[in-house]
Amino acid sequence: MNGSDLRFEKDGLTIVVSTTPAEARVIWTGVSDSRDPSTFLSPAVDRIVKSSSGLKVTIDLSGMDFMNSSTISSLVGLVKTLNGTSPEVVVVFADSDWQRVHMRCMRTITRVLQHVTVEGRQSPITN
Amino acid sequence: MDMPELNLSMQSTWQSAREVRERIESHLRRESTYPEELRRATAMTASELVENAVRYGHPGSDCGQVQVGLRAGAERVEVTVQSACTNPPGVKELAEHIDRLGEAKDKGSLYLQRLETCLERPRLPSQLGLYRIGFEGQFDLEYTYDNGVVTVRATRRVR
Repeated sequence: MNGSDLRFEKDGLTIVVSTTPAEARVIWTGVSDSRDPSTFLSPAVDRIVKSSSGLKVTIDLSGMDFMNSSTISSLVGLVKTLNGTSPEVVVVFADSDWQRVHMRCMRTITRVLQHVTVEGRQSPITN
Repeated sequence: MDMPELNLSMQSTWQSAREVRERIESHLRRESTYPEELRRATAMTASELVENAVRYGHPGSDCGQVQVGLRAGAERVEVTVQSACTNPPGVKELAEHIDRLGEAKDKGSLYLQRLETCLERPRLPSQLGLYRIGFEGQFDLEYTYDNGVVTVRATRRVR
């Protein structure tokens, strides 16, 4: 993808944001198991929101190997924030056992968020 | 036939959760014929229980030791996490969540309720971990609290 990139890395988690005039792709890979992921994610989210305001945003989690429950909670907050700033938010999970569970749950709880859709992907992305 | 037990004694620090998860996954991959889903669920369960022990055991600091046991058999897998606790309100809260899970007919609904709370009030502590163990991990939980030591046992049928 041509366009501006942002990259955030901490303790095994990498988040890359690629932005074009039409959309922003937020690709998560690795492991997220810190005690308070929001201390890392909040500044990242602020920059993601700033760089993607008014654009379609795809949050791709299919390359994640593990997320602790604190990360899941922070992720839910991120999706809600983006629902307020983006015309379309797509959350992508891999078609693996553990990610499928999270995909179904995310799909259920985001039914109240009108800009959010949740999808599964057959094979994980590579960074 | 049961596999060799795994017993770990770790510093009660946040970083221990990752080490426990990796060692349990590695042990099960080496010693068991469990499918990947069960290996991952077991490692996730141990990791979330260690995080709980660290987060709620000693408010404001990481200290003490946490003991982690894994018994993986043909019929049943069991993870035990034991730690000293100087936070009785934390134990009370833990007990309430485990009791609620134990009484629930549908653990998935409880987990979704917790997620919906995260969606509505993102700044509140999530306390998702135990519900995740019950729903995603499909483990049953029980606890004891004796002489300042909390023991949480998670079990799941293998077949």
